[in-house]
Amino acid sequence: MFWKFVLKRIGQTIIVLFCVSIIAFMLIHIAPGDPARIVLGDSATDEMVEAYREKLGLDQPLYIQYFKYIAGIFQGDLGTSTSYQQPVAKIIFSRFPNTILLTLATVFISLLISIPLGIIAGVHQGRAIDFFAMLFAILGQSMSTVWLGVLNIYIFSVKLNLLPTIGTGGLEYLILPAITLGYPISAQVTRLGRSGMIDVLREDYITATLAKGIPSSKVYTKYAFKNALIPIITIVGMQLGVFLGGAVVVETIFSWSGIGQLTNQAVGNRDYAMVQSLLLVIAAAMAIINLLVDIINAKIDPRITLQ
Amino acid sequence: MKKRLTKVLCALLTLCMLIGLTACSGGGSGDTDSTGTGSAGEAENTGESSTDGRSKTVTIALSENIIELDPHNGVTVINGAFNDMLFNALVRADHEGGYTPDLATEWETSEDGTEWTFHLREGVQFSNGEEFNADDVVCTYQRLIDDPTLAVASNNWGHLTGVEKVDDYTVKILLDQSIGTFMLAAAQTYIIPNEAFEEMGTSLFYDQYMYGTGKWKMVEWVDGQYFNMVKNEYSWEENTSYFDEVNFRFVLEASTAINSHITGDVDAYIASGGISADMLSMYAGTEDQIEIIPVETSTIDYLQFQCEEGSPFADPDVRRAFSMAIDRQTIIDSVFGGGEIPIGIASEHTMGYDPELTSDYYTYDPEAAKALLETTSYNGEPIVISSNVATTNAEAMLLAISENVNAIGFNTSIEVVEGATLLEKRSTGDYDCFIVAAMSTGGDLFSFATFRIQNDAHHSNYVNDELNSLIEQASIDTDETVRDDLYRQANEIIVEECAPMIGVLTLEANEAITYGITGIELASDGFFLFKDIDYDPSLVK
Repeated sequence: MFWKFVLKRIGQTIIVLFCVSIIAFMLIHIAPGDPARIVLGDSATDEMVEAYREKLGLDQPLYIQYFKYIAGIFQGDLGTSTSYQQPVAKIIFSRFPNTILLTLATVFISLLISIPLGIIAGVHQGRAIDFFAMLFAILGQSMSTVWLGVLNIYIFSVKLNLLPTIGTGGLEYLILPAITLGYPISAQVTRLGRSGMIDVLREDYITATLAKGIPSSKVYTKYAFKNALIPIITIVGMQLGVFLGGAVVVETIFSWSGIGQLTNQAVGNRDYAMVQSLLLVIAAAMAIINLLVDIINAKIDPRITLQ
Repeated sequence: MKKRLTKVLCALLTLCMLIGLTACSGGGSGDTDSTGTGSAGEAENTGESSTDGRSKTVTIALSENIIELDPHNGVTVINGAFNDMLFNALVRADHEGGYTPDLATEWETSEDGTEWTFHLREGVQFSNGEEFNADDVVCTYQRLIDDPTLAVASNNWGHLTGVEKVDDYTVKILLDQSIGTFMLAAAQTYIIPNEAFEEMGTSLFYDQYMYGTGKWKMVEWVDGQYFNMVKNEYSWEENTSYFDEVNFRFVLEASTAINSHITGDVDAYIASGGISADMLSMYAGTEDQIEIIPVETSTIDYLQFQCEEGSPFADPDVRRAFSMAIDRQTIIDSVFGGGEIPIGIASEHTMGYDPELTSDYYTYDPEAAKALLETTSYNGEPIVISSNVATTNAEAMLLAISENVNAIGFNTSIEVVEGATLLEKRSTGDYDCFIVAAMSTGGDLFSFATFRIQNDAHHSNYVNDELNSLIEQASIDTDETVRDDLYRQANEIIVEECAPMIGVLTLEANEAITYGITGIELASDGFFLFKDIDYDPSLVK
């Protein structure tokens, strides 16, 4: 039953990626702006623009361009960027490690804070720690990432001189972007963890377990938390996919060279091959993460495979 | 146990909030403890330090990323800055219309200006040790003939037909027609090593070898992050810079760049088009460490009209009324915080500038504008003023203009679209009027006048034979005095006709450099040059 479920989800993922490839291709071609004109600039004559369009294959019908693009993907060729004049795959994979690093650091920091906070707030509903946890969550969900990023730089770099403002490299460069990106998700997970714990702790089996004299710390972490975990995994999984698609605002504020900035730049330059490939890579990352989330959830709660 | 855990967590949260509040409510930004080279700056500046403690590495924040490494295809201001450090051309521009020898020591031209002979510098080597000679010049110029889609070729070398090696240190460049901007074109054509290019092709650039004859050589470029250079030990020019290493960081967010500068992570923040006036207040309190340098540029924000038959702006008086209704000085003062009112498209730093030239059409006079508009057939047809997001303060400027002209009877609205969308509109003529900024590279109006007016690249549909003839002559004649006069006459027509465009303002660019850093040249045509970057401890306050 479990493997049938997994195979079904993999099939769905392939269909989703196929649809995304068509939508990405159509959207960027529909958008106003001619890549040949952008590359050649104002000084180019109409003849030069037309010749360049021919060189890029943009003079061919859309369906032929699409099939050529798909055929290229199966041969490991994502095309050539019109802005960089280099293979798209080379550019994307030079930036992807930064995005993965930032994503992992963000998720790590946010879970490190939010899971214990959510559990404690749920267990101590109505007390001071619950109040602080909710304050933390409301602030996190209401704050703009732009504002938080600039504020973090101002506090930790300019005033306290503790962390660098820009760049990539050691751990110190990761802290501020990860906190900025992670705070909203941390707030969300804290709320989910708290409400999940409150619901689970009202269940009869928890009362029975506590009545049996099993230590409360074990009941909370082993029995209650496990059941409160499913919505958290789902939301973290979704956010993980979003982060792997790049975080334009945080990447721009901290000069962190990731996929988000690249996508923004590629759309602005109407770099068709780059945009199509980026959207496909991002969609693939999102789909794979969702697949993994479903598999993990199915493992935690086997009833999911029956639905 | 539970209570203790709760207390600890409460204490930690309170502590975090207190730290935040304390930092926010701290002293002014001039607090000396928070400036200078802090730990973050030290982490960046890994170069060897001299006795006075100044790192041998200088780090500069730039507001734009570089994405094209090919020196013949990258023509942005950032490309210009890097190419100037890594390569040399036959001649070097002073960015105000003057040229000095570079890899060529002397040159002469034929009577009709179609044959140029250059005598090359001897004893020059590329950064890979390859010796420079005529073959490298032939390789470079032949590449531009073979691939006219390269930006340097399409922008400059439409009439280049051949390049011939006369001997090892003499070359001839052949044209099918004289080019008025020949020297400017030659100054933008960086010489690449023949042998390395034959062996590697464009991998010479894209795999980051970038062998040039410049004072500096490339170490590494990481897309979106940095571009690092060190001294080129083969340079024919003596490089006496205090710095062994120059690092450029691409920081797209202005507030981050300024904070990095204040903390000492970077030593200068150079923004294309200058640092926005409303951001300069972030530097308050750092006056003894960082110098804000205002640069008068020839970059002009101009408004181009759609003049085709049936359009409101086909009528010259409608254009004139529109121009007279714009309160340029208020826009300069309140939106940009600095700048000048141009008369036409020429400015003090470009060819064609006439200090005596005045025009009622550039004087804010809403009453006269209204009276003039009433004499026309304009009857409140809707007009959209367009611009793109890359134009500095576009929205605020457009709103101000729209309000100005609506007050005298126009019916305008504004739209600020992304660059590619406006480019598409301009390439099809699908606009009423638009505002963008334009640079006059080297102080030359060639690209402005030839492409935008004579060739009507933006499809304004304005045709004026006299104007086109003047521009045509200026694009062919190589005598700078003659060209200056031709552009002056052309500008007079543009001002009188208010067509196909009117000047709105010339920009003043502010750049920020830490005291002691010298040799950064902020040219009036919008370029910035770092080739001679150096350090003078006596300037440190």
